[in-house]
Amino acid sequence: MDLTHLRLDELLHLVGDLLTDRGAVVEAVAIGGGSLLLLGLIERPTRDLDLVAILEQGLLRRAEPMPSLLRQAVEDVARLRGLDEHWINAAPSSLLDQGLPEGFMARAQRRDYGGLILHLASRVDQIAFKLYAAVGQGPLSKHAADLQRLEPTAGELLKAAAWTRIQDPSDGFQSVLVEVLAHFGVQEEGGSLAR
Amino acid sequence: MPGSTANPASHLFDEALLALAWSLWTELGVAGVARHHGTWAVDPEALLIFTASLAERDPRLRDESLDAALHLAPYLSMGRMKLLLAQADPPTVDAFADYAATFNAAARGEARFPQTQAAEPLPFRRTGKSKLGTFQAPSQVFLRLRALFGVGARADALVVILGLPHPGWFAADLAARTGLAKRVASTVLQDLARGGLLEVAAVGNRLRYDLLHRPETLALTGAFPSIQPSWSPLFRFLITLQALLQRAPSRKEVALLVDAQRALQLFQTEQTRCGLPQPRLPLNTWPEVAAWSVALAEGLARGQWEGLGVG
Repeated sequence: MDLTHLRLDELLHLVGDLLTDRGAVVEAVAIGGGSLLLLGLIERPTRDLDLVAILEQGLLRRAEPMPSLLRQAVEDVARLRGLDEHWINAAPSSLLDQGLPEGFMARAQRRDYGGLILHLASRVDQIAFKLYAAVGQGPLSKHAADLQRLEPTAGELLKAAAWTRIQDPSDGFQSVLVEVLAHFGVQEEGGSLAR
Repeated sequence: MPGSTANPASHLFDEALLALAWSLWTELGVAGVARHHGTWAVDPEALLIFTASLAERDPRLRDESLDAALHLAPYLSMGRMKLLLAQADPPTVDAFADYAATFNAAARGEARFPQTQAAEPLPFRRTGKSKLGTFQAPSQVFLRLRALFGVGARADALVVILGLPHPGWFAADLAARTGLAKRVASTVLQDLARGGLLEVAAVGNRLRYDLLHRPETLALTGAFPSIQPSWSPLFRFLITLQALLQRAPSRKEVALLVDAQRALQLFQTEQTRCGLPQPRLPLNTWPEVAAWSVALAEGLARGQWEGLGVG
């Protein structure tokens, strides 16, 4: 089932209410289409909300494994509202391994949903994540389309590209990255994207 | 009553559960005024556990039911009570501990309810209003068959086998319907087949047992009730709904809906296992669930099987 902004917002309140009812507070970091929708940066419906990290005692850790109380609340809401049980998931957790873009948390927007607190990646950081995903899935993917909707400047794309190279320093990635950047009208200059 | 205006659905639900318990106990010989379950098989052990959970709200029901239980003790299955208690939630087990301690003190060693935890007897004096007559009423079928065949798995299995139209029994079906362990159900079926009451046929790798001589057996056992709910899961479901209704004002709506959905799914699974109708509970808003719950309890208290929402 596709989620609109209003629907996603309502469902997140349900998860937050369940966590409150169970005496828990979970703080998580969201990226991707769901969080772009919540920020009003895209309007296309999405199927899920991607979590990259959990904030525990001021420190970020991978969102996988999801805290059991959060997972239970997500599944309960899914069952109640007829959603896929992975409508909130931790699929992009591995992005945390090499680190999020510098200054990420300071730029993130905090949203409170009762017992669920979300930190939504800022537009600048979403450009980095979407660029990385677009390289993985090609210039015709939904990620490339989302990236287009974010209307990144050349400078923002180049900064994002530098972060994606930390995630994947391989030559193969580099060559596709150059193609995707070219698709957005950004050219490599003097090997600035090179390792 | 305090809280009745603050939480009207909870108040109405409680009243309906008490009315249901009183009516069922009246079928078993308690001097009650309302009697709506003459065509329902009353399960004594399930009713005792259910009554214990309501006892705090109606001390007179507690005392009259204890008085009746003392009369009925020779026909009660303590082993089955223990099995049913093992499936009950902790508040029910706690409530039953007090109830059992009171019964055991009054029975003075002649009978003993299972006690899973320590408890002190409550103040209790026998009223002597309950009457132990013959068990001819259809609703007393459990007690009647135990009087005829002895207290045990065989009598309870016969209540189910004779009372329910069924194309044939497998051990698992009988276990689900009676609450007996599958191994015990299997033994009972074998015994009844050896006794010539059932005919056995292999179906795949399972054995199916078909009833023979039904008219002759019914002539011996007497009238059966037309309605045989699976009481223990039904009572558990009602107790869960009761707890949700009580706590509703201090809980988030989604949490109530999730818990109601979970309770409903458990109950539906039990109903399916027993081949009984499944209720359809609207889960959109809590007020809808509350209204549905009250209607269910009030219907059951009036002896309406339609209260399960299946027509």
